[in-house]
Amino acid sequence: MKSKYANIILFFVCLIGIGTVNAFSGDRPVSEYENRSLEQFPEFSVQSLLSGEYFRKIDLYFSDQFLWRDSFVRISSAVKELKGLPGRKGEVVIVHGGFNDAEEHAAFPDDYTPENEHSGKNENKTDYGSRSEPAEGSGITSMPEPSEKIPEFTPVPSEASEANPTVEPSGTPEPTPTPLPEKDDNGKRIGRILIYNNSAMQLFKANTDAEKYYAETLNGFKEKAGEGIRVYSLLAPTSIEFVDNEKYRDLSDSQKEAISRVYEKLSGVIPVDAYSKIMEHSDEYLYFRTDHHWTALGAYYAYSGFADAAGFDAVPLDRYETENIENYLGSLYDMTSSSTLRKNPDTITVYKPFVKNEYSVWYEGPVKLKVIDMYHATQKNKYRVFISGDRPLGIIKTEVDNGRKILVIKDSYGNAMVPFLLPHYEEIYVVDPRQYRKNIFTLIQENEIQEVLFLNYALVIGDKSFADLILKVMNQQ
Amino acid sequence: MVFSSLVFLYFFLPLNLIFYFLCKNNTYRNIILVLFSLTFYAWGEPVWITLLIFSATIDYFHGLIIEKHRNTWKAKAALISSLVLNLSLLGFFKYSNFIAHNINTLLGTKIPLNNFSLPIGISFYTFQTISYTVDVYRNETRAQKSFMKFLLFVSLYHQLVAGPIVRYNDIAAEIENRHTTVSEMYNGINRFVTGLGKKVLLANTAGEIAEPILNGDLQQLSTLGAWIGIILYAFQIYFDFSGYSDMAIGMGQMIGFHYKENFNYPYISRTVAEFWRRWHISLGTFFRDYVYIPLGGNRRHHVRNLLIVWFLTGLWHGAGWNFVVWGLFYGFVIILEKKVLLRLLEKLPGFVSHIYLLLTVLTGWVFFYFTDINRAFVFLGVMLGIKGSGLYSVQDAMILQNNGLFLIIAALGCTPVLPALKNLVSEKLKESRYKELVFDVLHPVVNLVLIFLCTAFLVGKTYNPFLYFRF
Repeated sequence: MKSKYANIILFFVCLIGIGTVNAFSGDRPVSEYENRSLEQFPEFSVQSLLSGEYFRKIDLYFSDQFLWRDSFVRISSAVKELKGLPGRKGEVVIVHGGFNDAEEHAAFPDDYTPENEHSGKNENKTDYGSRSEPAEGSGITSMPEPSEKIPEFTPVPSEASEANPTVEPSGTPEPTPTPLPEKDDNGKRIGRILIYNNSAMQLFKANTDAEKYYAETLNGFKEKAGEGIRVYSLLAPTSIEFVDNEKYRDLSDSQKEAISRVYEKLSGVIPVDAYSKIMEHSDEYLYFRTDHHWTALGAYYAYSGFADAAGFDAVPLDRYETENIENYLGSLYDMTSSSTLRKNPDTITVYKPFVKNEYSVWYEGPVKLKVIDMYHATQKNKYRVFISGDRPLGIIKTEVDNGRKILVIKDSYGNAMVPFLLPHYEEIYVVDPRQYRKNIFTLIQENEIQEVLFLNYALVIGDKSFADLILKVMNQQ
Repeated sequence: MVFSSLVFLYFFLPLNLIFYFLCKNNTYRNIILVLFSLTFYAWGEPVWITLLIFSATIDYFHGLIIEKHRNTWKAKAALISSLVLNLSLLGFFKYSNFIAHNINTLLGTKIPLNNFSLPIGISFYTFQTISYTVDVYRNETRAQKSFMKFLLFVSLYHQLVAGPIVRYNDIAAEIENRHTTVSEMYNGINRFVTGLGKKVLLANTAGEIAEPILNGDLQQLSTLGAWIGIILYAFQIYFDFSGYSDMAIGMGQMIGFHYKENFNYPYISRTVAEFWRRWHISLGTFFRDYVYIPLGGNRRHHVRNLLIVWFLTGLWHGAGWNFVVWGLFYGFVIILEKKVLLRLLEKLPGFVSHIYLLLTVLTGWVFFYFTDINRAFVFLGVMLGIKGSGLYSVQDAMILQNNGLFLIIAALGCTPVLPALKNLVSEKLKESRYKELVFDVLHPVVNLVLIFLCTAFLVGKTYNPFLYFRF
């Protein structure tokens, strides 16, 4: 009988002990491991109590601040890896968004954490809602308020399918728009990731509606920008496209076909063929294994495709001095916590610009940064060494005295390619439509920009959200 | 609040047990339980706690009236009044939108829908209070004189939100007076931890794998994929529901309440009738005692009675036609079994009968899962190989490969293999004086490992790295 006490005592000691230690251990504001701010104890209000919000927040707070949270997360993912049979080669991991939808935070730079004060205080006082007024004497072209109203543009369904349905080839039904794989019934975000051969790759799901929408958005942009402005579109294929195993390749729709479907629909916009340049070198280290981005080398081959379209010669790679950053575990590792990935971290190679330049990032005012910002080599998100990560607006002025000015409207794939443009342009404007809150045509007109490059990875044509962001900066007052 | 949450495990439950055992007097203990139960309920339903208390008040007084006027028309009137009130509340909160929606669709009317959320646990506690009033009326139990004690019966958090449906009769004596013995505390802990493990480690994992299969594009689903998906869902719902019942029974045991078993390895059944004697037992016996037998049972209108019971069983699970279809599906199969199938199955080898049962239950789960009936039929089409993308896909092989061990563990978990193993060990050790000691060492070790893993999984579930993933 006495031996029965052990079970009882241990049970109570475990629950009460952990409960007590947890209650008295301090709260953390930020999780570096998860790269986000953690839930704090909610403030009480009658309204939040009655709506149930108060207790929901306490639940979130409790789990976010739970004792040894990071270790428990690691343990659970390690245990979950044991649930398979031996001898497996590839694995599809389905990633659900958690409680704190990352999209909500996307308006903030992902280095917006208290300890990050390396590059001037201005940067930490980001307020994207407010107008950005340049600091005086900064030497940077000012950005006055929009002087004229620009008519709104929204893409209309293509005439062929609306006005004249018989144009559609009969017999072959158009692929039905499938529900977007990125959201499940509860609106939670889902990503599908293949882990194979020590690499994680995002799976791609083609969506013809979204492709059309993207192409029409760019066409509308070109129409509104006017004749004098050259508009390019570069869609970058992602790593899954070049996986060497046919079987796993079939898990994902063809980006080659999706990209060319978009390019065929462009009118007035110049398509940039990055695909075949990357394809020629697909056995090289073009994509990170643990991150969804391409390497600078991958970006370089895309750039050589752009050079063809823009009419200049690509600078040979050996012209650049390089530097390596070891032990990079990127976003796909964060999402999957895969031990295979952890054992095979990436190396980032940066190609250092040889052209003299001045790079400033614009929030409320300009903040001077470096095109290759080695500060981030020591941080968690090392991909941010390229133009210091995603910023609403970055302006690079170079010593190249040729009068060419380009605006790059990009997602984070653009970050690794922009540094290669330095030898060819006097001014480079880099806009991230996820963060930019002003009218894009105003920027073009005020600065007499002649070329615009849309530079995105192929997954943006899998749904409409990125095109919507482009529309937003086009229609912004 | 749910049992499988960190707040419950490391805050609510230990606090409740500490306060409970600090009080020596049964009245104080009951008060503690009521206070904690109301907090537990308010955690998820801060507003509808009023409804719970209201419902309890109604039945408390009706019970008193029935007892006072026993065998007169007043008792009967009170019984009818109680039934009408209880079922109206359930009808209004759970079914009014469903009914209004159907009338609107059928007649083209525009009856406005309300946007109340369904109060948690209303289906369970309504049935508990109904059983109380009916039992008092039938003179099978005495009415409870103390409102506190009655509220304890209605609101007790162990079974408030997910069953089992506890009859007043079963715990009436224990509400008045109960004791915790060492060996019951010991067993209660084991039971609770087992339930927690079933829910967190097995049900949640099965659900994570099943969800993208069942919610995905059915056109692109293969036949094998559909089978994997629905089998995983069968695991999920069993471990979820029975895990919850285990936790309830275990927590009851810890403080001297004895709830009846609610699950008894349903998936090892050979007939549907047997399945329902093993699945959600407290619901089956409720319908048997309060609907089926009063209607006449198998003595008159047998088929009609069965169809009514199964229609209601379906509807009880949710306000949707798919649940009705699911219930009636079982009704028809059970009638078929009684008329023909049982005699046929008896002649065939046991495994045929077993396969028949599993196929029937899996078909049932398709209707249970898909609230959109059309989608349910498309899914069945994929399972039969008529629809979908073919018999097999790369992704299926990967799912099997990557979850093979889990699938084996889950399948074993549906059978009484673990209790059998335990019996075997205790047979072997029968003569040994270390027999008890072996288990008394084994249990705490297993429990601690399970709690540790469940904690890790519960924390891991909220792992949510911030990423610029989409672009």
